[in-house]
Amino acid sequence: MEVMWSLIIFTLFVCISAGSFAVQGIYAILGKQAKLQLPVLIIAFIALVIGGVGSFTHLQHWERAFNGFGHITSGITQELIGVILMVVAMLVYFVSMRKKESVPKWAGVLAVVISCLMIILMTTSYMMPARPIWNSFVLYLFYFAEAIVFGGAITWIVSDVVKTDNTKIIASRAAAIGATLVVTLVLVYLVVFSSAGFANVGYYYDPTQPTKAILDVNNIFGSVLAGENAIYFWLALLAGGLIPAIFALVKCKDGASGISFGSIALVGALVGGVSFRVLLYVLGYSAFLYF
Amino acid sequence: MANYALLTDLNRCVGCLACSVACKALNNVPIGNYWNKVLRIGPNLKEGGQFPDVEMYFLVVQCQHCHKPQCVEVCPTGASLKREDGTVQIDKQKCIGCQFCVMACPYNVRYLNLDEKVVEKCTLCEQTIATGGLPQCVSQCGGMARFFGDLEKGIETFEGAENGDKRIIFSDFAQPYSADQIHTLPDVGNEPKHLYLLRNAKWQGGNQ
Repeated sequence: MEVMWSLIIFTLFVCISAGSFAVQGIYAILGKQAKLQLPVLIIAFIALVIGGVGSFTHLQHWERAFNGFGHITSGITQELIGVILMVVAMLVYFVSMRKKESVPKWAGVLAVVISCLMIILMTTSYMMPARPIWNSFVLYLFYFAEAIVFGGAITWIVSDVVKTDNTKIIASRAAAIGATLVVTLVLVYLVVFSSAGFANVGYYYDPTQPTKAILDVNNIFGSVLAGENAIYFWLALLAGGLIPAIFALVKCKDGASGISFGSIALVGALVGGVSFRVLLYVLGYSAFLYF
Repeated sequence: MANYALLTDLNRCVGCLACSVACKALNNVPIGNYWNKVLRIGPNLKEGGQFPDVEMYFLVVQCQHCHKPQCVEVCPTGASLKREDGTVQIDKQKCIGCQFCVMACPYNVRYLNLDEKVVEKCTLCEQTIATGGLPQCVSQCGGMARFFGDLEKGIETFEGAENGDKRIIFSDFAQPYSADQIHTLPDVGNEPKHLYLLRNAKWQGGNQ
């Protein structure tokens, strides 16, 4: 199907926001208080706003968005509820941060729970039996892993900027764990690509598209590994997972510079994240893909 | 309470595309968009056969007005809705053009109308059937292969294009068939409603 950039921006920035917010929550639970909490919270909030605005831009009639909006079984409605809850949680976190010198543990737990909930709601809205490539539990795990990479890498960079060396190791370890999971899950997704349940009618002809080649549902795996879609897969695997994993794993022990190494991990995760999402759209055929 | 559906006798369909053209003309479907299509399925080898022992048929695909439409479930504004007559319709005034219904449809039969910025699809010629008429793809079917009716009353009562001065009735008109020769498009939980009758050939695509 056609690549929907607005929704790519939404899912990417929600992962950035949820990952950053959740990592701050983990710091609060661990009692690691530092100057980085506020800047990372601001980054998480801005990322959520960018994601929300990005999602809004794909509406053809945005002026009707709240005219009867709220059909609860709709993924969009659930995502909107998730975004509102997350903004409220960020405000609560901010207030609790300002009231005391240290963020209370309950606020940390709240940040982690709301971030996880947001990712679950976002992913659930793409769980459609009509789109076999999307409709996999692996997608939940992938978005969680990606959020951990983003959260870890951003915190690693901010730790360097605000000079809180004692937080670098945890941040770079989070990025390393997340990136390793991303590598694993992108590879696991190969199973989803090869086992997706598309209807296969054999040879066919569509008179409205007389020059279009027959879609070979048996060759999706091949197109991902070495065909026309390989560029997206390999970018997702190498840039999105392997490069951040290598840099974070090698450097997570010595608290290396976040601006240098964390930035490489973040850029890699961004490139890989976009590539993987483009791949999901390019291969997002409907179960009966001949219309 | 009616539950309207279509039945297509694929052994009668000659792939003339009259249904597609009639639909386009009546419903003013934009260029590049289709509310129904006639696909040629095959030529595929017959079961156990060797080339040139092949078979093929024409398959008319459109909104299946499902029993459990996923498009209705994902619509955030209730623009996609299931009417009391069992058809799935779109209230264009409510549609925000988010296209989640397009993604949720397993048959890809929904289109974004770029001029009106709303999603459209086959309405089963709602404006005509409400006054007792037939959907245009049925009344204009050159092969007299398409039948329209109420599933509650059984497919035997389904009506096709006029032959002379009255509509043909499926039970009178159809060649003998058995229940296992009636198929639906693949079902991924949406329970498609339209029926396809195919005798003496293998139904491709499966009833998932």
